[in-house]
Amino acid sequence: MTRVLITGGAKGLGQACVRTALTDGCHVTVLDADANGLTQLPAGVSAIYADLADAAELRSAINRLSASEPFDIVIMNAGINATGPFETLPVERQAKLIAVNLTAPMALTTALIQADKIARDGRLVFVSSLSHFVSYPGASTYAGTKDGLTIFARSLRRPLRRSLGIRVQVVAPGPMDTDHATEHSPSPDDRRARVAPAFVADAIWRNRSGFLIVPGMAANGVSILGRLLPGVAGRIMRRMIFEKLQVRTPVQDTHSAREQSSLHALHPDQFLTEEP
Amino acid sequence: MKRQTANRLLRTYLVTGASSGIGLAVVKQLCAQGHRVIGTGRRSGTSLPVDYPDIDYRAVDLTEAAAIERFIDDQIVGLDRAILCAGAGFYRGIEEECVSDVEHIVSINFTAQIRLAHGLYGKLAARHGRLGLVGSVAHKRAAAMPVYAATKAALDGFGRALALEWQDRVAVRVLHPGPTRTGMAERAGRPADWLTKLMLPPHAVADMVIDGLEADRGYRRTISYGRYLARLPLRAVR
Repeated sequence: MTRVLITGGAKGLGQACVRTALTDGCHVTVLDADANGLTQLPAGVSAIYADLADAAELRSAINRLSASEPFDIVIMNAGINATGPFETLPVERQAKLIAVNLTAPMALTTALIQADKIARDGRLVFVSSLSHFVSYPGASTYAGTKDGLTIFARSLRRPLRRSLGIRVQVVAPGPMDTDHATEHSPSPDDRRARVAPAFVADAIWRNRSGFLIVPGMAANGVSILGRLLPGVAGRIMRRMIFEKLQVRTPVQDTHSAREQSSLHALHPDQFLTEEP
Repeated sequence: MKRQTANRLLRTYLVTGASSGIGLAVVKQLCAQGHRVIGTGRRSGTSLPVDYPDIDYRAVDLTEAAAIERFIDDQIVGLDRAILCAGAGFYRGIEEECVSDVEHIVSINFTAQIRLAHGLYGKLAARHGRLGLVGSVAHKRAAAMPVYAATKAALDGFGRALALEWQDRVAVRVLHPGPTRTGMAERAGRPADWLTKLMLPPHAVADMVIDGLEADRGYRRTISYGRYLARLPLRAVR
């Protein structure tokens, strides 16, 4: 039976991946920081509770995984976001973001490889973001973590394929119809432009060989624009995301103070949410 | 050189990683140009070499959030430029990596840079300043050092987004030096060989870092061998 490990599998894209894997008859292990969500997983799914932002819990998760049977498919999906002007976001939240989005997947990969817990011909899939191609002003630290994760995967791709036969892949989904995306979108009510997480999970399942998986025509178009005209893509992202977020979040800045004065003062914390 | 110095505006620079490598070379260059320099590094002030430039130097442990905050609050008054050079890495594949080193490298190469950028924003914005992040050509990929490459790619992606956010307030530039003869490669575990001799000289890289920070457009600049060779005749004329 195919054994699958999914981090952040209690909600959003991770949850969609769990469903797809179960439909395919796999045995699924979920690692998540959402204790409540873990109890609501379908029957037969193994749950490991760990807040990946916590170094001690990360280590205990590593110990649990090192004692388990090898996995055929590992999906490093757990991620959080924090949106708003960089200087107004509390720096501790950004440090936590780095721990969950970048440090944890690299540490888990290190531990799994060294304990020989990814089967030969297995797949190691990292969930990155379309922001890798077009940048993400308004979530600068998040953009950094996703670029870091993508290049980590790119660096591992050949060595792991050659020495252990493991296929490393990266998924770069655009905005999805998940709580995560909704809370961080500058226009939360507009759901038309977002793809269903099940669609992305399905794309992960079907693409067993290519390195980069960009699910959907729209996301593909955006990624091509970002690669061909990175400067233009960045400016569009600034207008579409950052400038709208600026209106939502107060900025202690003289330039935008005038525009802000008529709006209700909102606390930046309102836009900080976690969904590991 | 003298005339140039007199014409150029004298500024206050902050340089991290100033106790060795590219950071040290940047400090020397800035001092030669007559700028005021505040430097930080891992080493304590007393253990610096005797010929260390006469600057305001503080030892700051970048893995400690409180130390960074304290340093910015207490030591930085008026700042025009910040050049963040501090970085660390191990030359090893994933099979030889260890979890605590992954955490350490991310915290120095990425988290500390976020903390510094966050803390320095107000001071830099007040003077329409510039923030320089020193990355590495490894930001594109490096099979021999995946964790280091990831942190430098993270720095690049962060710089790209931040440059768009701050575009009219603080200019952000990410400067990616190619292999430089700083001894970092050997400390990272890469054996010295004939290639070591061909690496870029630190003083030339420092020059290009300082100039690259003043670039008008483009958030990213790669400090490549080609760029170094192209500058050689220019140096000779000066």
